Amino acid sequence: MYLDLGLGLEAYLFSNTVLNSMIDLSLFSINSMGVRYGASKLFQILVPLLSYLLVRDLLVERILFNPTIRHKLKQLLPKSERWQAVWHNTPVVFEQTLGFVAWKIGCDLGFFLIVTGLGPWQRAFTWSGLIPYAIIQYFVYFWLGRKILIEGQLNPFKPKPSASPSAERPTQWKRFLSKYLHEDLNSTSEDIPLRQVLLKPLVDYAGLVLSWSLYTVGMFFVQSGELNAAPVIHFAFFEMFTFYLVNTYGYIIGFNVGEWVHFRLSWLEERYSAWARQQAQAIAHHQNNAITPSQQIYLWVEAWQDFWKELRYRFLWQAAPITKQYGLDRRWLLSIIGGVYCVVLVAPSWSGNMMALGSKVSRAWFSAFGEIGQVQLAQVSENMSQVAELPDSNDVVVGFPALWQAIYQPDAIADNPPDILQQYGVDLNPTLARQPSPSNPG
Amino acid sequence: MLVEPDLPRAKSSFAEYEKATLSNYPACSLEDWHSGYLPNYLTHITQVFEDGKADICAIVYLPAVIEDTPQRSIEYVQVRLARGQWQNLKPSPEDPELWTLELKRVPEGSRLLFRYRNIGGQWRSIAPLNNGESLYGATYIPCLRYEWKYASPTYDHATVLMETTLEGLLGGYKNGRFAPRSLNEIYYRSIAARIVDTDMLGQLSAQGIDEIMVPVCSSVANRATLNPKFNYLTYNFVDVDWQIGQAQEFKQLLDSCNQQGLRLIPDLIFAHQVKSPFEGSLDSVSGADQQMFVDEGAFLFRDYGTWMLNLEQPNTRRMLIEKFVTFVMRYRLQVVRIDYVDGLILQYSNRETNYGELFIQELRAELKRACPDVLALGETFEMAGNEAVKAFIDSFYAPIGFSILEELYKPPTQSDHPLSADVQVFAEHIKQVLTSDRDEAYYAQLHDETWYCPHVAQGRPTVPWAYGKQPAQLAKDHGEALIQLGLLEPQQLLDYVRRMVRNAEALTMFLATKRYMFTPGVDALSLGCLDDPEQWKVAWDGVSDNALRVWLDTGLSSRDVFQFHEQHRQDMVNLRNIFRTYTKVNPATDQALVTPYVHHVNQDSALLCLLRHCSDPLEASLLVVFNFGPTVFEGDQCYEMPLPIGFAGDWTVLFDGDGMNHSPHEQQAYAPGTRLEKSMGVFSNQANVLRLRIGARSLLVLKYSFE
Repeated sequence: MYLDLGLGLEAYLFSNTVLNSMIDLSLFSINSMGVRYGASKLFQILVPLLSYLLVRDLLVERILFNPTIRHKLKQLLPKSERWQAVWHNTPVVFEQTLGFVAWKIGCDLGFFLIVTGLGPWQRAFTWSGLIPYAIIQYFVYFWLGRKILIEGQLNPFKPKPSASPSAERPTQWKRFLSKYLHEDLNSTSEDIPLRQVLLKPLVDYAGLVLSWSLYTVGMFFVQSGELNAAPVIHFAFFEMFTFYLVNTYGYIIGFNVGEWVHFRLSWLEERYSAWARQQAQAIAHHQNNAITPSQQIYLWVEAWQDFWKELRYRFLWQAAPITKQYGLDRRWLLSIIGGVYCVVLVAPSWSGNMMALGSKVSRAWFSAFGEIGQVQLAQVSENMSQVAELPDSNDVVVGFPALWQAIYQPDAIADNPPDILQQYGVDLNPTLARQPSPSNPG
Repeated sequence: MLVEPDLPRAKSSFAEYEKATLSNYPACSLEDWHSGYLPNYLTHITQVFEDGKADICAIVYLPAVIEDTPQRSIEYVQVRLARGQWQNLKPSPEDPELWTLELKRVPEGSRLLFRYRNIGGQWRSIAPLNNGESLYGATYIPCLRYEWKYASPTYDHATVLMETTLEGLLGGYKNGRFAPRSLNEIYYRSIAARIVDTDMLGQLSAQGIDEIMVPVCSSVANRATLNPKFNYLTYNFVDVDWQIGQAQEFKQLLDSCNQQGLRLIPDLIFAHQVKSPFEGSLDSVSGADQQMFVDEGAFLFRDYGTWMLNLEQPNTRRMLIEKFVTFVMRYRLQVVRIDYVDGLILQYSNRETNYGELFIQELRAELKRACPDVLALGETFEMAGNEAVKAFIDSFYAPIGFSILEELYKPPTQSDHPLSADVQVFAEHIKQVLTSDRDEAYYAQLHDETWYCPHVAQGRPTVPWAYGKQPAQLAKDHGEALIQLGLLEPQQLLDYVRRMVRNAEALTMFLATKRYMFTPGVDALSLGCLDDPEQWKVAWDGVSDNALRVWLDTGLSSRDVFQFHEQHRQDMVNLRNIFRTYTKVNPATDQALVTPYVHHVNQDSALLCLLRHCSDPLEASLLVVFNFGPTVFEGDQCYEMPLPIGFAGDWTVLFDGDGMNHSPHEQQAYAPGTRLEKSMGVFSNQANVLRLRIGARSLLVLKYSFE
């Protein structure tokens, strides 16, 4: 019996260990680098969303410019076409600006302040950063990148003509490329034109580099009046490239996996729905019969659903317009969880590999094309010619107690100093002299 | 190879449609594909191979215009398979207007493009009608391997038909979880494929619905963000829109309907076609400055930017007839809805020969020859008496609910008794309706009556309160007028609305003996109009955000609002199920076995009672008692309903409109199954009466039970 218990305990411990290690491997194999990349992505999702919710929907539309005020303002507005156009365009421009600013805050909080720890978090909220960033994003990223390059509109101010639907069925490979190589506004899609799939990473990267580096130039200029191009020239191009690569493509994989989970769950729900109807019919048609286990399960689930229905009827209906407006449903939740979690998982290895690759390329580049100037050579030669007279390490180890005492307990060996002190020329007197006398404090 | 190689070719004579013969091939995928009908004027499949490849007979019908005939050379019509070379079609020796070419072993999913030389010698695209699949100007070879699994349903009872849209059903189901979010997403997964993934069809069946009538024709509508009126701007005559699905997806959808005992009725809209929906559309095909397919003498257009097919051309009529019949047979349809038949007839009313009449006569003849069991449900009003129309239509639209709504929602200021309807008007209308010997489908409001339709407004100019809005909105407008007069409390408005909508629909339904039609807005108590934003989505449950705000403003709690809606949905399902169970039809002869009568009318009490007499068995007879007034009959003030002669037994309650699942008032209602015994009248001085408790604007459904 003891044997059995022992084996059982052993088996339990073993299985627990295996289970833990499995869990460790599959779910929690993350490190701080992964967490930082993941948190960065999470900020990029949540900060814009919260900004629209709190600033546009709550502050602007409900408090500052509620429908009554808007109505009065519109009545005060001149009826000319120009002013009417201003009235219609203002919300659009405001929303775009808010979007860029919120995106910048999210990215700043994520990349500069969390991933690289380059500054305090408050830096994400400085006007001297936000305004130049928004302006640069608007002109460089939105107009030049999105409108002209990606959408192919030579005049970005003209509304885009509506394209006729394609008369050609899209191919599977285009669908795959679109879904797995493209991400926009934190989601993926199967119907992105190939031109956009190919150009968007370039535009994104150029936009990131230019907007972040130029807004730093702007910040310096505002603070010191000095126009310094160093933030552009010495920008962390490769780190930013790594960051973009990991955050975008790691997120895409996880997003698509999360979405797949959602579709599978939906499929199961539909099967349950058909099954539940059968159970309900069976119960209705055979009311005198005993409830079968499957019918009992159905009744439990129905009771649970009734509970939720009651909650919805009383309270949750109030959240429905917001969740509907922003598409905050299970698909969204599972997709972003999948995306962020995948970034957390892949960031360490992907960024490690990227950085290692970067180092290798840098070394190879240096080996092939690197040159050392005369000044650098002189510095290196000087260092090379210095001969260090270092003691034998064994002597240091053996003599360590005496040397330690010489520093911290000189009294204890003052009467009989070890030989090694003399060998290294250690004089106890200055140390003793610095020590305060107990009889004469202060 | 799955079929015999020597497919019989068409003979030269087209007069008797001899080429369009039933196939005598053994059961195979080709048989499954065309269901036995081979066209002459349409590109079609002639052989199917095991690897999914098929032999194709590419056909382009180009009506000859006198001026350009000499210019027709061998390089006049060409076809291009996938990204291959353009190949010449040859003129048929039997008919120079037909250009044909055999294409061997074409993989499924291949694209065919056609072009022709115009009068200036330039190549122009043409998208001829075909028996494959169409994606705007391109023809695709369909997947031919779908095998039908379930037989089409047959009913031994009158049917309940819901007029809706497939995209609307999908868009509203579970907050649009399965719906496409953009037009482009439909390329990857069609509406039909998405529906098949869900339990929607099973749920529709469980809601007491037998048939769904939906527009499926190719149209300029974007079914991801629908403007429902765009569904009626169609092209390619009669075809399944690519957004609905490819042929095998649509077949799978129909098969899934069959599995659930549902029947899908396609709404075929061809009285007009939208102009230039894509490059190469038929209306752009011209020769010698003359459009080949367009009827240039047409003068009536239902919508702007539409055109009429030239029915004066006999071969054009034949091409259209083949297209229609191949569509019906390919999908094994039992019932098709013909949109606006009147438009066809009136279009040719100013010519010596009415080609619209001629067309439907020829179409009818071909349908009867090729698929005699197919039933045409026709939307016809002014032309319902036309002999050609009468012969063409099997089941007529019968808007018998129009008069009910006109009286029910008459503005209080125009009524002597604003709180109650004049049931005598109903009774007279019903008596008149029931004299009809036509096969009819009854309804109160369908899509044309739930949005602004100029034709309806033109036809009923004096009763604007009875159409143009969702059923609940009509009732709400009436209720609000009563509130303004101080005759109704705001908190009672929602209950008032649901009772009025229920009574209007139930009266329409229980007069029907073959088919009752309704729209999803009835169950959902939708407000506004069908073409308001988001109204195209079917509200499967709950209350829309806008409607909820409206009802909360009346002082009700959110819980009350939800529960009233939930109760209303359940009531409508129960009523439909009672109707289906007790409205028997002989499945062999399709004859109704139930005869409704107005049994009792009390104008002072605003009570009307229908007797639905069923001779076999008598126990399937029903009494349906409607209270259209504000009086509550209960306790000592019960209503004494005289029993119909020949029904001396008891009556069992099937439905009491006062029942509320979530309310203490439930005790005041009869539980289903309650048996009511006849008694001696106290007030009425009659020997055999039922003492009934019935609430304001409520209804009772009683089933006859022998003594």
